[in-house]
Amino acid sequence: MPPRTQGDRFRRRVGAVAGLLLAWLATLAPALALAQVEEAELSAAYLYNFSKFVHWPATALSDSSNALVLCVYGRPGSAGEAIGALDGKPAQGHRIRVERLARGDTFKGCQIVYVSDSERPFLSPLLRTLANQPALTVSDIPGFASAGGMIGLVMVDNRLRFEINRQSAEAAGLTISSQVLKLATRVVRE
Amino acid sequence: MRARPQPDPAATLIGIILLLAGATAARGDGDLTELSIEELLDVKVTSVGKKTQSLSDAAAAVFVVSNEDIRRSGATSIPEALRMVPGLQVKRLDANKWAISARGFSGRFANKLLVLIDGRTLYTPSFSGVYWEYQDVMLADVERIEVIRGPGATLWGANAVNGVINIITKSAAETQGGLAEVGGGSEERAIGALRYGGKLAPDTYARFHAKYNERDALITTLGEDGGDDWDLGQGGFRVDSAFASGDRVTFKGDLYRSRLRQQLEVPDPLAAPTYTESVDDRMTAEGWNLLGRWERALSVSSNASFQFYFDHSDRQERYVGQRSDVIDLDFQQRAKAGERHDLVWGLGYRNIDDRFDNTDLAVLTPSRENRNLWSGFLQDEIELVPERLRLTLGSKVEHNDYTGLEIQPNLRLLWKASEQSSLWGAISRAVRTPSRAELSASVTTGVKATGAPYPLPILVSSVGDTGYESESLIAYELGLRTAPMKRLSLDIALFYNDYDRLRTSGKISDFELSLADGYLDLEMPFGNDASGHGYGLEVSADFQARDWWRLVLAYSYLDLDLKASADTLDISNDTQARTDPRQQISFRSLMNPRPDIDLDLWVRYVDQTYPAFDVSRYSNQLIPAYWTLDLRLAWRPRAGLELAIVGQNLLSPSHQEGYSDAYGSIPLEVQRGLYGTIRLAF
Repeated sequence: MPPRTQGDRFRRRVGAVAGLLLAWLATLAPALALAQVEEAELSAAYLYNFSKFVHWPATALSDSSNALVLCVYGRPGSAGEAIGALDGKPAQGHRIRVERLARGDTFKGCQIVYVSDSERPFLSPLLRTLANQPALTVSDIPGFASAGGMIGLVMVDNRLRFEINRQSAEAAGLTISSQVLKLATRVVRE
Repeated sequence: MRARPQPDPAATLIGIILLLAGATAARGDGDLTELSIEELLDVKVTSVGKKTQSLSDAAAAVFVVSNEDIRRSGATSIPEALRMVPGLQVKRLDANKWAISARGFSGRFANKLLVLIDGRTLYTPSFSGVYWEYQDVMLADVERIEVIRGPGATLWGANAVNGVINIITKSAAETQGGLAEVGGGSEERAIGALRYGGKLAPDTYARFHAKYNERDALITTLGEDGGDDWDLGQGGFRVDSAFASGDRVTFKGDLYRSRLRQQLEVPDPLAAPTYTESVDDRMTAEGWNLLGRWERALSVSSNASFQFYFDHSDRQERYVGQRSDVIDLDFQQRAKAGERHDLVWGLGYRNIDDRFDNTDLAVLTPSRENRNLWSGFLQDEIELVPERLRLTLGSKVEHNDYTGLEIQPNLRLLWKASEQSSLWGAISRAVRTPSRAELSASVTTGVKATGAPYPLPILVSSVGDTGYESESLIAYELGLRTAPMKRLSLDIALFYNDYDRLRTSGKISDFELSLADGYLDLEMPFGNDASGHGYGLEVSADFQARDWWRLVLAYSYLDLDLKASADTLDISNDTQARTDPRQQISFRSLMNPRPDIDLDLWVRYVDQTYPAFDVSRYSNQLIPAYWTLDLRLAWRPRAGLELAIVGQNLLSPSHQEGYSDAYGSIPLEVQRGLYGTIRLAF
């Protein structure tokens, strides 16, 4: 069967090319570098920045209290590690303390609450509970700011941006610096 | 046999592993927290490698096929895209038939796998399996395909014995605007798809789509047309609404119609000397479905959902006509109990109404039947050590009209050794409840010429038995998921499956031989007289070599050993045990030399196999191992426009993957193919 032989020859040739390609890949692979970053790290970097540009009422964060508590609520996945790395960093004269909260835990003592994507199905009652807390709420759940969260991280053209619900922040007694407000993709005012 | 010079699969695998292991990715150690908000706004996010987090936390062997994976595979149907999943066996038997299974027992009528599209079970009551050819969706609108190997019966129910495939489409809000795709090629004769999504009201989005595919026939080993070309038209809509109360409602529906051709050799005891009749069969299949789902958060730690669907299907071919209507209701609630317990429970009801058009080859008695299925499940996830050790306990309890009550418990343990690594293990029981055919069908499987001194041929039939029981499985699984480097993730799963009461045909004491007009009629009733075990290993590695280059490897090893008891003439367990490839490799390279160019390569190896059943002329013939290669090149000259050219099965002019499991004519081979598409978003 002539077509078979041709096929075999073709296959052998492709095999050789594939082999060369693999060898080339092997030499290349060790010299890798990063130009882009994971969304999780970027979320954490934003959280750190927000912690520096929000003013809490003295009842929520007094000058004498030494820690600014960042609560990670739900199962944060890969973001957990990145946010965990913020522990101990300085912000507004305090040290950040990262605490993990499981579903259903109270938010007492949290100055910032990061809501994990795992809590998406519970968002509505969760935001009702959080509405009574003087804590900055941040999440990358889509529509977070529109739904009543304070800062929603949104992906736009492969870049991470954020939306702010100023009304929610003010209702909780928080003031978000105008420097941050003017960089928001969208400011929700109801 | 054709002698094919082929690379050794093991050597290639080792090569690939060395390549992955040798690559030590330098981490970008710039501390992002040093950057200001202005600077952060400009940082580009790696678009790949983002997985659904809840899954990487799961104590089960889970693999996710993303929308990007599908697009860049060049696959034009769901079965073809599934070839990249470790632990799945995918064979194309003829142009319009696929045999797909997880961890063995594959075949056209594979019945140990549960498949769902957006919560709707794809289920053919006659054989408890899936007709893959017309399970179609707008591939561009698929969010992901989750494949769970191993029993998923506690949450999903009977038939989730060896695995669950969950096809999830994007919400209407995520598919706004228009998308048109047209193309064609040598095997993919015509490709056309159109979707449009719009906003109906604030927080209410809708989309509709329509698509059409026409596919060429395969070829015979002599290079002749296989006579199995087919087409499929499919359309659907979806509406998603979010209310201020937080409630979410989804409503969707689909409609399809397919014309298919198949070449059969059907048994005929009066047609000496071959005792078969060749049939050029033109089949039709059509169906529609409607689904509604309502989700509500009851508190910060409790939510509930209610789902309803109706599914109608109709398939007509030479040997049987089947119609079925399924109504399914499902309620689920998730609630946190105390600090450490996360409970999920649910109730389900399903009504199946089927009608068969009997023929000389297949007779179902009664030809119409209506039956009910009730089910309930409870599962508790217990945080034994918060963030570290999680125990999952649960069971499904199901009542069906055939075998009564079935209990399917599981126990799973997940240990998060570190942020990067987790280890899990599971023991579960699952059952495969009888299909309609196993209870009440009489299907002619072949004619045996006896020769002298018996002058009459014997017509052999498999017949259903009302005493037929569920097949059962106890599965032991162990898995490791780890990310040794930031850009490399590894998933390893090991399993040992212990099967009991497997289907057999032909217990000697139950034979019925009778004299018909010109031939002898031998009826072999189904029984549950086989048992066996399977074990295997599945590895997947995902390596983001560079921002513009991703390498993905999947390797599967499977060994099945099945034994029918000595008092049957059953051979189906022997053939089933060798119908799955022992080793499989899928290696993909997804490269973006420039942001507007995709250059993708997909190499696959599949070990030698045999047909699933020994019922036709060629079904005892070895199907050789094969290597194959797909290449895809795509260019996006401007945003929203993509031109792609895809070469499939490039390594040889054609190769055989399988052989028909029912009345097969001659074996067919999948050809090398080339097609091009233009995709426009507007």
